[in-house]
Amino acid sequence: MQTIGLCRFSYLGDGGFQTMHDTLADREAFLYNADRLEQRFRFFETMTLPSVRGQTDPDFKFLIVIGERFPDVFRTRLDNLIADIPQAIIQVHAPDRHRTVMATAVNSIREFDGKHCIQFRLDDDDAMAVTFVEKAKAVAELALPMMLTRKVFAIDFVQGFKARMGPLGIEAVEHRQLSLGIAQALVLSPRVPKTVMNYGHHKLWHGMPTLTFADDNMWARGYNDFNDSMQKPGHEVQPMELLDTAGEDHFRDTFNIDADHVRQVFSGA
Amino acid sequence: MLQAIGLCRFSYPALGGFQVEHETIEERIAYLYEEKRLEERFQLFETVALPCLKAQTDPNFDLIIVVGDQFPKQHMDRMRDITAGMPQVQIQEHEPAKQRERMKDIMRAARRDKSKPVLHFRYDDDDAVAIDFVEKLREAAEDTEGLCDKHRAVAFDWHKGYVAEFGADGIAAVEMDRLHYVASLGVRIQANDGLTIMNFAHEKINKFMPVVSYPDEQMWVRSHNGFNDSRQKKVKPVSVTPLTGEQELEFVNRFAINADVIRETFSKG
Repeated sequence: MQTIGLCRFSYLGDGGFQTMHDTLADREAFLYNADRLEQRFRFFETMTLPSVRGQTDPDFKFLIVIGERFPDVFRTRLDNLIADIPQAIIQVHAPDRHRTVMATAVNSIREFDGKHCIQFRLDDDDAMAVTFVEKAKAVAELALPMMLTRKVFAIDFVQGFKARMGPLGIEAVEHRQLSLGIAQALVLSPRVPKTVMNYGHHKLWHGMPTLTFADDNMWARGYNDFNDSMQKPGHEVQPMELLDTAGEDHFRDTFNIDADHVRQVFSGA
Repeated sequence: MLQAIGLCRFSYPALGGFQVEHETIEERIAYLYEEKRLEERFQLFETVALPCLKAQTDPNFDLIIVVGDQFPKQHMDRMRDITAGMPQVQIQEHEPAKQRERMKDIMRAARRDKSKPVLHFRYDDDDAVAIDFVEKLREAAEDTEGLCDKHRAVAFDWHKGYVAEFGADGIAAVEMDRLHYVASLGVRIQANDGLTIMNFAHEKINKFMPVVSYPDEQMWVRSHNGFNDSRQKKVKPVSVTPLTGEQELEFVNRFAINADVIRETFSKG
């Protein structure tokens, strides 16, 4: 089953962010601010990419969409970071309607091979368990007999961590949440051209059959100063605790996130 | 064919387990068996809960109705009368006992062949399910055998339904979409495993087992009436509107609930 992951890396377009800006120029200034991008890259490098690199089933594509005016110096850094990840593909897109651009991007690499297609999203400051692709495929195969008449269904691994990266290492707290959008896969019928971007991930279960699993920790959501969905007033942050050795081992085994790497990257000025 | 067992407590005076607390078991029994209250429970049971069970498109299920061993004789007679035509029904009298433990024992004892998987569902005495609930549950469990065989228990949740009020004027209702509600939630338990649906709080069921949820048609009706147990606490009132003629027909077709019968029954006062 072809499996496609989509990562929007500070793509500049209309919509798609919870923090609104008046003009495209305002948004560009916000998105491509060097301090912000530096912070995003630290998460991307220590959380997101290790979890992609560590997948136990390597048969998937990881599509990274960036904007046309993504600064050169960061583009070079991005290219270097994904050099050893054969699944990674970078696509550059002009500013346009966010969801349309993303749907087009995903379908541009979909094979439409007469089989079902698994699609997932992974934000540039989140991580998925290294078993995610393997498990999503296994569940999709097992669920197919029940879903043959369906255009789309969802697989949602609801158990994971909220995690903050910093010079001391990883602070985290376990959390269970439906339709979070991380470690959540859509399975699309062979001829259905919709994509993971045609559906809002929130309350996905309202609109399609959904299989939820809570038996393993399958996602880690990164928290930092610039975290997009934290910009709303009144957003509560649960208390997190600095991981001990056992916790760090669990993060390494589960997400391929290395606490030493985190300390090293986040200690940099 | 998988055995399907439904469990319905009819004003059973448990030690613990009711959301309205009483000081002593005598007080609880006095409250539960009060004539006016039991009359309303019977009215709802007869007009809302039972008709759809009698009309199930797949009649292959067991329904265990648990009453207290001090249940007054005239009410026991009434219970026997109204379920007389239902081969699925087994009325069991139990002395006051700890709710969860007793219910688990009942479910385990009702299982005919422990070497085969079994389907469990709970049934509140004032709720209704769609007339194809048992058929859908069995079909879903059979279609996902591969998935089910990998887990001790898997839940199937049809989460769309109605909250309804029943009275002399007929039925007033509102559509709801709510995960993990008691009605039209079934659990498939693995062969040779003593788990039961009563091992889990229904609203947290996705913490303990995979859940397959379906957004399709309305599959349950929950009644909000005077003596409804969980409504004794402070609960947000739900605003309902009288059914249109078309909706009354839908209630007949989907839930075997007849608005004329409701009007007649609840006009008696």
